[in-house]
Amino acid sequence: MTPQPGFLPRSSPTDDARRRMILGWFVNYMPTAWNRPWAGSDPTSWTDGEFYLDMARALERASIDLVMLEDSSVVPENFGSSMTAEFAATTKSPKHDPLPLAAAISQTTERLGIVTTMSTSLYPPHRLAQLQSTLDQLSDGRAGWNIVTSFENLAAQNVGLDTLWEHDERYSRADEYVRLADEFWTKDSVSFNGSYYQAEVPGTLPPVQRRPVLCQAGGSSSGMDFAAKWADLIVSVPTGLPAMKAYRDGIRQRLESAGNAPDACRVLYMITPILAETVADAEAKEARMYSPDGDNFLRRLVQLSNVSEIDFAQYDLDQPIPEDATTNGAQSILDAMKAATRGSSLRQAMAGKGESTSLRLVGTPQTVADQMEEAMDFVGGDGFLLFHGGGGLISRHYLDEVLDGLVPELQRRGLAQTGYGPGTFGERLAAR
Amino acid sequence: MPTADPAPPLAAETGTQPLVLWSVEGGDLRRQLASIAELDAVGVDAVVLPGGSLATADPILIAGAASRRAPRVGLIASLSPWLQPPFHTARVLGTLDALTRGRAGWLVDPAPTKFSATDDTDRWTASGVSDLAELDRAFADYLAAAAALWNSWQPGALVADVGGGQYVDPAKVQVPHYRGEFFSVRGPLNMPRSPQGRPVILARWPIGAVVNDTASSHADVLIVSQQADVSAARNQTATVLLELHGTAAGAPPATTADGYLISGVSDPALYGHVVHTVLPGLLPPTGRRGLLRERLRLPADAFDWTAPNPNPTPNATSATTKDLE
Ligand SMILES: Cc1cc2nc3c(=O)[nH]c(=O)nc-3n(C[C@H](O)[C@H](O)[C@H](O)COP(=O)(O)O)c2cc1C
Repeated sequence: MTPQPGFLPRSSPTDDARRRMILGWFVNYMPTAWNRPWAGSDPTSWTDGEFYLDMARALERASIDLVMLEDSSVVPENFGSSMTAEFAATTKSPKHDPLPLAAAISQTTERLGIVTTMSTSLYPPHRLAQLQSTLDQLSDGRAGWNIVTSFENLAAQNVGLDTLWEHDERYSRADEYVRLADEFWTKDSVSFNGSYYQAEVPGTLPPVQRRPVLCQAGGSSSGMDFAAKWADLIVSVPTGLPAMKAYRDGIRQRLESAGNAPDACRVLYMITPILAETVADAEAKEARMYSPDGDNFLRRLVQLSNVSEIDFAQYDLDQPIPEDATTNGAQSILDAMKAATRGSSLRQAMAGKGESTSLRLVGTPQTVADQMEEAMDFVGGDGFLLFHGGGGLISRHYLDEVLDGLVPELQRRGLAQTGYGPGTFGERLAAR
Repeated sequence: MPTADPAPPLAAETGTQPLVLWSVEGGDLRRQLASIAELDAVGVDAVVLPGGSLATADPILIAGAASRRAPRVGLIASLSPWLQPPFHTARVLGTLDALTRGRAGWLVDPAPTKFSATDDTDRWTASGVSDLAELDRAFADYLAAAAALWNSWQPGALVADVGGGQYVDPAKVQVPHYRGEFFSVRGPLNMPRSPQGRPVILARWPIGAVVNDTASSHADVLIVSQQADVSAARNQTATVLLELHGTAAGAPPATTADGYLISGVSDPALYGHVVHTVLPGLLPPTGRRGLLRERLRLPADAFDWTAPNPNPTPNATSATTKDLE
């Protein structure tokens, strides 16, 4: 571990700037909330990207730092061994390629950071470098790359592989991959002979920033090592304040022991705030959203199957997971679900709360802003990544609640920026 | 496949106005984007965006960036297949077609690569391959893989059936399990069928030393550089364009081709003359609209969904290249 050269701010951050949270929004180029009351008039119009271009403009109007576009390259068959449940729940498919959308967003916004997800296991490094450079040029220095290593064997089979490499090897390959990508971005010509990748490329397109802002979401120990070494921005979803603090401290320690500045890397926590005019209304909404009887419950089960590659359709919803259950997927998730369902059931264990949020944030803009402020004071920084995918699909209605309700409340308290600072995306992040 | 007309009348004699496509000069991206918007406004049918090397910006992303300021023009990316596996190419072009509501095209360029990039897997790459026959076979395989992916979602698969709780009808999505000599891809694509079914495919004719090569025998549109080649190209495909390079664009000659591809216009005075004086005489005053394939007068059935072979053979090339013919 050495790299972490990172970005430098144009001027050193003021105390006021330090108090302000970094806010991002994580979203999928997928169907919007097609089966919800605020679905809009055409449930298939998301494909032309217009919804997401409007969304990007709304994010910029609210001075949100960045949009992060998720990606995967697969129609999962984890739940019930077929595509049917996935096509009811729409957790990963249908989905469009986020890159052309990011290119369109680069022209309809001026200051918003634009982070695209690309997998080191699926894209060849030269192609990744060229695409990210192009986005950085088109956006005038606002591109970021969410580095993922993928975990779906069906995605591997889409690019001519039989299976993906196992978890830690994926990170060791990713390390060499990013080293090579960095050469593409910083050298006029590249001659690289690594243990996984070889390249002789006479000329590559340079980005505007010295490289795109590197983002990562390592949750495991090897993932966190990788993130601390390379990432300018980490997105994560540890649950609860102690786990959030432990995560941030773990990243800072890794940076320090490698001789880097502990704050060289920003950490954002994923949240799904549930907002209403009264706390009681918000709680009622939460109860509906995470009810074990609604169709959203199937969505969460399918999602759980997809992140773990375990078929939860094989288990009785009203029983605990059998103690002798085994999996070729994520054993850690199966073990956690065994523990959580012991003496209860899958249905009971999953009821009432969501997976995609580091904190339970349910209330009015004021009470939720209070909680976010307390969380940042306790954890030490650096901000939040908003996401509505876990509890339900995105709608303009939800965007309005957050961008016209919660964000202005944070802004009034000096906790969120009301405009953008100077410089590139990387420089702006470094100045916070 | 239409048969050759031994003596096709000149475009002017049939009363159909010629198609006009424009090959945008590389270089500064702001200038490229401004030029695309301007060509859109004067009613050019499609622009061809330069690609070709890792030192240039990716043309598909330029097309995505241009898609809002240039809301009508066709957006054609010149892209080497050898940059990435067929899945990525099929996916990104499918998305471009959706994002532009049916205006995406692909100018295929299967020339040998000028770079070498390999990894420790045993997947075939074009790096270091100079044998044109091998590249041609690999390209046929690549196109067949892409075609299998574009064909993996039937029209109407997005049902958004709230009552039935199903967004996609799973019976309308097939797993191609494509396995060719060079490429394999399980599929399906993770996105729905795009507005045109697939992007329009264009190629230069003849593409290289190989006669009857894969690119020209599979393209919807062929680009020739001299009038003498028009009738031979027409034997291969429905729509043929005559390329006018540089000053030739200032005075388009009569042609039996369906229209022109204007290229190499970098001199500002020539650019102004062609855009403001020549083009208005060639194009309908309001420009043409609709799907790119319709504007280019391509037969709709070449873009239709076709039922996949129920028993895919291990060497599936023949079953799937059909979709592109
Ligand atoms: C906020 C967040 C966003 C993520 N986005 C993606 C994504 O777009 N695509 C993907 O394949 N994985 C995504 N992941 C998964 C991570 O890349 C990573 O695999 C996961 O956090 C587990 O950590 P590990 O790889 O260290 O085990 C995301 C994770 C988080 C927390």
